[in-house]
Amino acid sequence: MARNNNEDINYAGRFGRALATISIVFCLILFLLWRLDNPRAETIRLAVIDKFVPNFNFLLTPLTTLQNIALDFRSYTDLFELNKELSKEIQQLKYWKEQAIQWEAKYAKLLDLNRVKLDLKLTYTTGIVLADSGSGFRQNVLINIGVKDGIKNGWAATDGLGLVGRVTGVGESTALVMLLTDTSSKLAVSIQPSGGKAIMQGDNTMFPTLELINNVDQIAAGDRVITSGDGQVFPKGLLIGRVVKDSTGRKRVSLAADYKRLAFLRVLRMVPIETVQESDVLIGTEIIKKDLSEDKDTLND
Amino acid sequence: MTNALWGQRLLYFLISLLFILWLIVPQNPLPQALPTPEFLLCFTLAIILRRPEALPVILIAIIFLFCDVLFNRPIGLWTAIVIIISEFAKTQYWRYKDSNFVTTWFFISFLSSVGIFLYMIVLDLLLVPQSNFWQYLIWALITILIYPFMFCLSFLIVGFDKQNYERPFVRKKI
Repeated sequence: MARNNNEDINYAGRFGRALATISIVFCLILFLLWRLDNPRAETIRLAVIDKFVPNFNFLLTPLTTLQNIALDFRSYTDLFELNKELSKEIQQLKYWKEQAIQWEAKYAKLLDLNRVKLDLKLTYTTGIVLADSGSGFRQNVLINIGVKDGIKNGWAATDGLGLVGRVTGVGESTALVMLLTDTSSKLAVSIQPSGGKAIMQGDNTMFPTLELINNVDQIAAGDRVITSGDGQVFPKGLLIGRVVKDSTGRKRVSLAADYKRLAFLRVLRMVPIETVQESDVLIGTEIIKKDLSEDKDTLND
Repeated sequence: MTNALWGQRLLYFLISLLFILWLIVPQNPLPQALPTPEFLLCFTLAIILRRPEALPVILIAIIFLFCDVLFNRPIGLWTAIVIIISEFAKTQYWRYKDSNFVTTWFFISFLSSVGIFLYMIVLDLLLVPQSNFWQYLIWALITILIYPFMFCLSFLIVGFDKQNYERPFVRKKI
């Protein structure tokens, strides 16, 4: 095969080369800015998404419907299996229902005995999932509620049963929810019934890992994992899932939320928890200091 | 001729847009355990190796920057890598324009793997939280596997004229 340099020059002329170099440099600068000033870059990203995604709802909706049809078709094939399992499960549920009724009665009685003042209940806003991350490397979803609905960064999102993730970005009418399976998702959890503390970290699989468990020997597969409320990221006691062990013996969490079908997300409005940090601090120390320094100034004069 | 060229560009833009939308639709039908293959990279390279003049750098840059923003990827890095790969592929066009499908496939596999591992290495060097090596390997593999489909799709853009569909399968005698 003879080398033909003429064509080479035709398809990427001097002008083309310069343009390519400029765009590569431009992209690399963008990337560096993203790395150095991450919060601002993420704000810009959200602004773009906020503009773009709602405008394409007319296309997104039919696409979603098409995908759902495909998914439904797949699930029909599992229907028979499912039926068998369900009837088994119903049996078990009946038992639990009985149990729950008994507990409820007991609980009401105890509350009455105690006259406990209950915590202000968490209120929530529900949003519809507009889009997901599109690649397996970032795990987040976009929901259709944002600043307009009073959503704030850091609030927890659940699917009604289990924790799904947390709000990491808010646009005017959209919010980005980072799922627990994302690699940068770290969360302090508590494992019941032993009460152990651990850090749950996402690793892009459906089963986030449990790290830094403080009482490894007391933890067995099947234990419940709930938020511990440490670090005040999330309210205490939200259900996350159950402990499972993978083939290498590493402890992971099987999430209670149905990640395969995230259609609606509940964002919990969080009232910041007030804590007492130091014992007796004089209120307004800064003002007094300022006054003193001003006094000094006047003396010097 | 120029009109046809602009038609191809517009078509490329629209198809890419549809791909992006299809990928960000919730409840992605692909299993979550697998990373999503890089459809657009394969699609772009498939077109470049048959009609290098159809895709200007700016068009590729716009599409991929858009992907970066919407897919929550680090902004700019993947775009830069894709531009480098596609420009390189353009310079190699003369070498592959007469070769058969499998040879082209090997070349594309090489390009996309290099791109993906470059991406991984740069992110690792800049200490961006990452998933592990195996997931990148799987990503590269399924991207390679998806190429034949994207190749078929590229007919939509470069057309069905005889020269075009004979070219990739039949090795011409020199």
